[in-house]
Amino acid sequence: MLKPLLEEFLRVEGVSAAVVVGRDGFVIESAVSGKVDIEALGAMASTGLGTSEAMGNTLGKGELSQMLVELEKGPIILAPLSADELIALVADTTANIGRIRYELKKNKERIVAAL
Amino acid sequence: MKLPAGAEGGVVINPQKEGMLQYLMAFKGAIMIDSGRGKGFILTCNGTLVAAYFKDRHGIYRGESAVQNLMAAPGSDAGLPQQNFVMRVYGDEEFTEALALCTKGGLLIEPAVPQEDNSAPPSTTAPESSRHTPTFLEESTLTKIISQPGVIAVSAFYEGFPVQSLGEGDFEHVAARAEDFLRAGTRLAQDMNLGKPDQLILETAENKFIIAPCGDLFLCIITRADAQLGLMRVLIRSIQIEVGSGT
Repeated sequence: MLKPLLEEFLRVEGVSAAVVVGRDGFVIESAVSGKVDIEALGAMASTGLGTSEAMGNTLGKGELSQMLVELEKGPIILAPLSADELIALVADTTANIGRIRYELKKNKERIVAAL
Repeated sequence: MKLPAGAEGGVVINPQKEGMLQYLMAFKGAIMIDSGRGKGFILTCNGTLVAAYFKDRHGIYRGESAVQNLMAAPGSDAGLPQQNFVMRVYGDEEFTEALALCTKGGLLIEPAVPQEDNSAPPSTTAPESSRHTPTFLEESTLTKIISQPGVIAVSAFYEGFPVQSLGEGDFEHVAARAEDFLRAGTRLAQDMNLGKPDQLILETAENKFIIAPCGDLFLCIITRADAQLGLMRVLIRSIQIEVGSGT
């Protein structure tokens, strides 16, 4: 049930990976086109999101809803799904970031329901 | 007197009835008016009326009195001819040329010269057009658009994110999809060597979806099916020229 939902993200132009990761850094499910080291992605996504969540809490900014890391060869968007899981979307430079962001917000509940 | 031709800015019929008169003036150029009772023109600079001329069977009017005659609202619907407003958009050179002709002909709004009078009024310096190119659009620009009949929402977006928005809508969705549409249209134009798109229009049975570059941002306008597309195009063009992204 979860994999088809993740594969929908691959239909958005520029998206090369959609990965659900546990807070411990282990990949739960993934949909990938091309070469993406999802094990490394899982580990670093968990760490990165955790640090950003701590920043939000420490600065009194509340809960983290989404994190965008813009890199030379494309963005990575991270979002918490629950207390135990998060999602990471990897895209290339042709991607419409606004579209990815919107699709993630739109589908978040469906993904959580499939966990 | 032959005014510069300018670029075609569209035609509006009976704008007074639709309450659109004030928005027609928001560009730099000339509005050629055939009111049915007579003909004339108004020279406007981004909403400031600079000069006017009107001729009917009673005589010739210049300046303020010409404006009053040109802008006289049509009476009841029965029996009166329609008013045609043809917009001609001017660049700086054409506007300067038109202004010189109007000054020479005594057509400047201040002072007004009623009836036939060949004496040249004192020359008045036309208001300088602002060449300010804002990073963001002014609130009044979006308000101008949302006030048009039939407009549901307007959003200025950048890279798929909404930057400034007015009206009803899920603007994150609008901006995201508008970016898709813009990219597809730009690719198509490039593939076919058509140049950069000035406007993209998607029409459905119920709505219209218009995208146009505007300074650093892109405008996305959603309207009902009954919105006057020609008027929207004129308004968009005037805004593009105002912020310096018009061709």
